[in-house]
Amino acid sequence: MLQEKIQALYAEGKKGLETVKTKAELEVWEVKYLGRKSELNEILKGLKDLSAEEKRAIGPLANRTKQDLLRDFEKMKQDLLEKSIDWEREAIDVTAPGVFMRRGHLHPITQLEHQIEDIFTSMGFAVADGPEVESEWYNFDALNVPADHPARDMQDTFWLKAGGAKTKAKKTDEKSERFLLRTHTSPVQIRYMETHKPPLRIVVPGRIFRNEATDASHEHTFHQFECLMVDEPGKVSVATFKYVAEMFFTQFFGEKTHIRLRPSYFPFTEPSFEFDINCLLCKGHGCPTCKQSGWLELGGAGMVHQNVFEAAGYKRGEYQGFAWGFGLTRMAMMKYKISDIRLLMSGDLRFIRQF
Amino acid sequence: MKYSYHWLKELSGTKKSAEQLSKLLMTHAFEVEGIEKFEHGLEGVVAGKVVSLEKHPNADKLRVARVQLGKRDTREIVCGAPNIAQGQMVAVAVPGTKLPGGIEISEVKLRGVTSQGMICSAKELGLGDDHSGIMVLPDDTPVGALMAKYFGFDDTLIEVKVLPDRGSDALAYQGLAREIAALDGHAPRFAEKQLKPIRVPSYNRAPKVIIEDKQDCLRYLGLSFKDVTIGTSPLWLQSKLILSGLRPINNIVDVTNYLMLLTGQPLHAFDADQLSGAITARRAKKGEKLELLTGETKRLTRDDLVIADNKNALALAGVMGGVKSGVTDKTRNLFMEIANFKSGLIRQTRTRHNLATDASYRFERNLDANLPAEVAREAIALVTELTGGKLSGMRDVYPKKITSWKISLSLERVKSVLGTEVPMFEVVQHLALLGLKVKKVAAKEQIEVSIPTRRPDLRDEWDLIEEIGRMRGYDKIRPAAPLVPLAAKPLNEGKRFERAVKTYLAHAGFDEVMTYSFYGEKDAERAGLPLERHLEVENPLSPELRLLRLSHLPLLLRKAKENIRSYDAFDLFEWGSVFAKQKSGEPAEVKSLEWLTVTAEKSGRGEVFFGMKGRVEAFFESLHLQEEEIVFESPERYAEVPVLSLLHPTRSAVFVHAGKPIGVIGEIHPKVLKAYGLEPRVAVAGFVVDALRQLQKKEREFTPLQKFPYAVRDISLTFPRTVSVGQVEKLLREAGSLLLQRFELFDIYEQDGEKSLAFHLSFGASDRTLSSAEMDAAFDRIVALAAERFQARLRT
Repeated sequence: MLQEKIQALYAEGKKGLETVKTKAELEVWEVKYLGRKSELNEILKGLKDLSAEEKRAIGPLANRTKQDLLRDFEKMKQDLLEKSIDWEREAIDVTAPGVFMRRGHLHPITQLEHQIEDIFTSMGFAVADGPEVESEWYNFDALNVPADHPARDMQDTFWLKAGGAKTKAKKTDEKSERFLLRTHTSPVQIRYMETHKPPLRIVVPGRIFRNEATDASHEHTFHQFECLMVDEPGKVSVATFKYVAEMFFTQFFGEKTHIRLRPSYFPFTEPSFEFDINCLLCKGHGCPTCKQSGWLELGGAGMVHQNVFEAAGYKRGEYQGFAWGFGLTRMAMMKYKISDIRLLMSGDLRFIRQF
Repeated sequence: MKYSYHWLKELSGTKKSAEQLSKLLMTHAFEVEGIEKFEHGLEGVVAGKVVSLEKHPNADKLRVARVQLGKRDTREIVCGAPNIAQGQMVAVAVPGTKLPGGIEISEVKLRGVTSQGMICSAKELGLGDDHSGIMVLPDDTPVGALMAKYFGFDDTLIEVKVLPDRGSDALAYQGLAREIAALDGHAPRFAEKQLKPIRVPSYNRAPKVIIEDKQDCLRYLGLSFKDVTIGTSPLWLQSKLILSGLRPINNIVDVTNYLMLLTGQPLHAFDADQLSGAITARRAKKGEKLELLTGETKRLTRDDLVIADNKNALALAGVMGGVKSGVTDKTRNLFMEIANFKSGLIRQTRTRHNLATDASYRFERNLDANLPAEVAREAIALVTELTGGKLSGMRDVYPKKITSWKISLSLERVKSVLGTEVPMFEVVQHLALLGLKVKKVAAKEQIEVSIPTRRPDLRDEWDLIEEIGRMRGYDKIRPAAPLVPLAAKPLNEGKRFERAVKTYLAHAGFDEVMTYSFYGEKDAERAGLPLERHLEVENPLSPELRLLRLSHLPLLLRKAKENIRSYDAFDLFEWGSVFAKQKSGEPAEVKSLEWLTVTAEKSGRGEVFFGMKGRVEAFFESLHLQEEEIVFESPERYAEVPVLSLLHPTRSAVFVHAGKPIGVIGEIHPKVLKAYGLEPRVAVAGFVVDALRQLQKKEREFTPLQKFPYAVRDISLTFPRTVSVGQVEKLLREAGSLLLQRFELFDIYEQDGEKSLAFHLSFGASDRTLSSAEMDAAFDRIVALAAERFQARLRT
């Protein structure tokens, strides 16, 4: 009896809801079917007077019916709200620009430096740094470039005026007192080895200086990256260098990269090489960037000279390691196809804001 | 150095083409910087026979020659040379030719006779200075022969970059040919030639040679020749010099140059009749003067080595000869020097006198002191053959003979360095090809290698390993992953902080720029920075790059001015080293972070300053600095901070931590703005990076969220104008004590020497909702203290 009444109530309510057109009509409907004095509510209130058996049968049905009606009511409420909005008046031109929010830009050299540091640190290399004003000893002598050696001519140097008494130019013994702007990041090799014992793996990014006139492809100030790995003999070799270098470039360029070593000379390494990577632009077929050779010259490397180890305080022959350096500036120019090196130090925001 | 391919081929015996050769060198020895055809400019010059010769109808000094250039090619050429004769073979430039000297040949009428070309002098062909007449070729020169080919100019030049380690042997044709032969797998061709032993006449007329400075003159070999005839060198010799970029001069000078190219050993020829007494290698006397071959007179020092006779210095040893004792056309007797000097000394001398010569370049690279004896034999042969002179004596003073040395090399070391196994036979083969003597040590994986003195670059095992590695080819080494312990790498706090700062700034709208580390005196002056605090570059590229930067700001201001052309408003920063001269004169270097902001609007009441200050505060917060430890103080007390000179004196502040300045902030001094052509829209800030990093909170702790609501009350107090917000804030903190949780300044109003400050005050406690009585009491305490300390009154 009661069950049928509930079912009839539901059917009637549902039907009534379909005819609702306005908010006011909906409110009337709500009072009638869900209000405190609605029939359904009366039934629910009367449940307590029923027998246990009836309660079991009627209770869940009445509750479920109330839930269903409530749900239908909520839905209708939403529908009516939606219909009440004038969407044409609300409309905006979404293609108009957003409210301007200034964002800054890191210098391309910095971005590249971070990228390179991340690759090396993932391979267990620590990042080291050192001063830009260096002593002659760290920049040259300790790196097996004695005064009066023609290898000094390989790097044109900015010397600093001696402070105070000019005559204090050079101590012939031990550590030289003349100062200069470092011509490479290699002095950090010595500084680091003086305070650390192998095994060691470091990378050194940094600003360096060469006394050369500037033009579109030459700068007196540029950035370099240095990499040094030292361990006992047998643990690090030319083969290790090739592995680490290939690994690095493969990560950096995101595709398998090969390196080629050619004999060369640097006072601080023995053996020494120039290293090239296969030209990724032409896949080795030859293009203007690689001067049709299929290879790009990227930097110098070699096995650390035993004289350098000695200068850093290690015993001759006790350790072995490789060192390599490459131009960060050159890599940035390659990567972003920058045709004029001077833009990098120009401070021109039209340039910086492209990165 | 550019090498003639043909000459290298002749000496080495290689069969490879120039291209193959340069690839071989690139892979195993030296970088090849270029291959090019030798530009002789003689494309249109052929050999012709003067078949007839007639007088020019209209000119006394000219003649008209009929010259046969081919079977069916005979031309009429007008010629003014006195030495032309019928039947001669001559070099003819046909119309269209552009000669090395720049003359362009065309068919021209000369006094009414058309000349179909030109008969050339040696000078016109680029062969020396002889312009007295036309060049007469040997009778057997074939008619129509291309002169370029005939002269041996049809050649390719290979430019090889010989680095300092191999300057001692490879800056010479023989040295490079030896290298090429080794790479090719055979002995060099020139080594097969047997040289005659030197026969010095028993009367030995050579002047005595005394080496005073045995440290720096390692050997002095002198050859004396009598009855030489100065003349032109034969064609083969001239062409070798020309191919190598040297100008033929006369047979003596050409021989010295030729032998230097061939062997690497510089030689110097003196006119023996200008010498007096013994020849001495000694240090120059202080102030001693020497007129060089170039005509320049140098004032020498005690550090220079000279070659002198018993009167004067004759030559700056190893660098350049003097003009007085040089060879001239009249020279009859000759003294030829073949010596060896200490490389470092030569380098110092040429640097001091700024005199780079072919000789100094080679001596600097540590030449073999045993080379002079070999060169002397060649020199004797050539001088006697080419000048008709006779060897009249020889001296060879060689105080400390340099002998071959030994290196013992273990195969284990080879493997360990290269990372690949190289079998014994291969090691031996590579080293032997390079001319090193190898001896196996019995029953050991070890060899003993004797190094010829021409290879001073080979000193230890590693040097030999390089020879083996490159001879084999580095491409034979396979990459191999290292076996390394999985140890955590030490962190570089400085670098990590740098990245955090830069990343924050980029997100906060700053653009990163990099500027030079130096500027000029003008920049320092415009910024008002003290010149004496700057470190100076001794050899700057230009005066604008002479001072090492004390701050990034002078250049950032310049960049601001440049960027204003494109952008209305921007924020810049630079991170980098700044430098200062310490009192001791020693350099000091610290990393500095400096900002520059250009706003769209001019600063009225310091809006530009406060915009910058807001950026600084947000920055400090983002870095989790112990902000309460940093105080903004007025700049007067910090005169030692140099950049304050460019800041607005009453709109700037110094960040102070523990009594030490760690940064600055401010608008720019109107004077400086004017100097840079900027408007008052610029503010800057600068920080000592390390000081900031050390102020980062080591640990951060959570504060429980407020459970009970704050009650907000506003207060407005009127103070005398001199009272600063900072002082009032300090007062609020004191008087509000525990109950005042927050305050915020929302209005500043100044009138009649008075200043009203209005704050929102938030009162609250962590354990209860405050009663209005408690709040009133706190509020009254603030008012009372303000009245007491600053004579403030409550504004209503």
